[in-house]
Amino acid sequence: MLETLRKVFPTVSRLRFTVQMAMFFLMVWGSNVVGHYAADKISTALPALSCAYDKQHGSYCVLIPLQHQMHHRIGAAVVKAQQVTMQVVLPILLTMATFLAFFFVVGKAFCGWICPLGTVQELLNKVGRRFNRPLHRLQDGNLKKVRPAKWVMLLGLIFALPILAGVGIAPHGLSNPYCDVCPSRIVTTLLTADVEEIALKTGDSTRMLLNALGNIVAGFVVVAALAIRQPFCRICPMLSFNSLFQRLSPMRLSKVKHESCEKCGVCTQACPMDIPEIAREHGRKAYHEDCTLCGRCAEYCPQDGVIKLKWGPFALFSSSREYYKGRVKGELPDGTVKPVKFVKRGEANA
Amino acid sequence: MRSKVSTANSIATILLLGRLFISSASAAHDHQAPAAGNAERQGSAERAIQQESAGRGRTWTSAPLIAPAGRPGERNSANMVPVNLAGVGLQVYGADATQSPKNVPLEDGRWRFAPEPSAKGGHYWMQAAEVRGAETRTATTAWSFGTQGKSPAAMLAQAKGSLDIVPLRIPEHGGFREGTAWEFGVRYEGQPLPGAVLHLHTENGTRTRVVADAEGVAKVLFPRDFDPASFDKVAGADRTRRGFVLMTELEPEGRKFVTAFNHFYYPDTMRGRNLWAGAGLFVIGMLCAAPLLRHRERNNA
Repeated sequence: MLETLRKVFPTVSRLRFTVQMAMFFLMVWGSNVVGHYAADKISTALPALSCAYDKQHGSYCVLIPLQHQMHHRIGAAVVKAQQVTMQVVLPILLTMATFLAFFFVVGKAFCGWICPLGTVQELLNKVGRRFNRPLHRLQDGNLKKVRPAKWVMLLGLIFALPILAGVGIAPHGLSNPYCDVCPSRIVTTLLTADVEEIALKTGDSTRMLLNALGNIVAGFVVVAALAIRQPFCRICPMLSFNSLFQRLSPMRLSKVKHESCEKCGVCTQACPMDIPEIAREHGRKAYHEDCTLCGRCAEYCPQDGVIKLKWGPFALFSSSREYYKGRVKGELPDGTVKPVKFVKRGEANA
Repeated sequence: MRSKVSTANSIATILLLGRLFISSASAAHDHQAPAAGNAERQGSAERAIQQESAGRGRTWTSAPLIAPAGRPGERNSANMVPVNLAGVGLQVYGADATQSPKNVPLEDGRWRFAPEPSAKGGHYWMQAAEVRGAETRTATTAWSFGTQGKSPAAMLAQAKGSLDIVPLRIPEHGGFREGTAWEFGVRYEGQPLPGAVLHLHTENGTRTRVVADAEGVAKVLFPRDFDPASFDKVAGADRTRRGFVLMTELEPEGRKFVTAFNHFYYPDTMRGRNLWAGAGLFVIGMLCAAPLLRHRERNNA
């Protein structure tokens, strides 16, 4: 049995790709299988950008109910403070409980293995690599600037603005501002042949501006993904939201100290989020808030047992020199592959 | 069988990505805000309509109706009034088809219904029947609470009266939309009624009829009959709605059944959107990223 599995999935990347594609079909067109009603869905609080505006989805993202609860429940309750009762608290607790129940099982692997927008960006980057487009990596200086953006997105767009809209301070058009700028809303609905979400909403000026921004962001992400790995994931509020709870899940990345790590750095090259800490640090610090648990660092670590993907005490995958040797034959750590025939082989990495 | 065909159609639709560039016809769906249910998304302007709708119903149709008449902001209960129907009780069916319907008496001209705390929310089916001699006039509607409940599939399949009109699917994302086609099943004594004639009346004045197919299913195309001047000034087209009713009659063995299903429909979402502007902005975003494909990064940071 184990041998058969090894033949079918010779690498962790192959297994992850298979899971990603299965989840992608489920997240984008899954209602044709699981059913159309909210009650039929796998979850309405999924820790991945499975867009609720996609009418054929099989499950949807936790950020939708959170924004609505901030707007309808908390905002309204602040206006009428005496109504802060279990009717306010309970729906939010239920959303969080559902989210945590899912999150407990695979943790931040929702980002690296399940999120449909993550899958789309990864597929686009593979196309870019095949066509020998340059690979732009974010290094220390740029990373420091970009990293806080995901927290600003979470606090500002998921929590603050919907509450302010519910209270009446901000315009009603800011009731679910994140969805208005989320590229998943446009990308996944287009995949279901639905042009409604790419069309600009013209009624409310606030919402129109947000939608305009969302369309520009979506267009930018689609092209940028050809040359930058996971461009939107770096500022995604789901990543920051998931990282708030990343220590609660038994699923995690584990790294032990090794003397060659400082000079090596192959794991950082392999990391689609360009996390330098995975090479520099060990222990808790190596499992960084930007990590999506894709497992590439473990795949490309040339040292036996240094980086592991673990679920509780169980090592699901452990780095090894033998595995590394086989892995680099098909694809270099930075994702460089043999380009398609009519594309000149050149410097892929800028 | 029908659901398999529907699934196959959906898959075929997915493959036709060329449709992406065809505008309104294929995009005439609702989707203002995708949370749990309709009530969750009702804006205050929309809720205010509810109180007036009962009165208006008497003027735009003679069909029996169950009209919402709740106050603005009502979230956990439903206030309904009978229209063109004498004082009778209301039967409310929950999503759990094994449970008996709840009888709600008419008090002060209203039916007041709130789901049990254990049942939370979700979809309910409401039905009120008045017997006038040999004639039975039945009004039906579907009601959705914001809190998510069970799937209504079993509730819709359940036989509730002698003559039933039942939508094959209750919309969860904003409602029926003009320009879109929805399927309704017509059943007599629980069996499909092929060839049944359904009369569609809308609050905007459309009068049309649809004939059920061999499986007792009528495909109803909601007319594009909204006047842009009638759109809600504050909330816009997305939150404007009008009532509609589907009515059918049957006269078996000297008896007469008149059954109606009423609900709301909304303007085509694309009325408040501009596809070309949206696509243009998307292309601008793509162009902004285009230099990343051409220029090699020199400093790597």
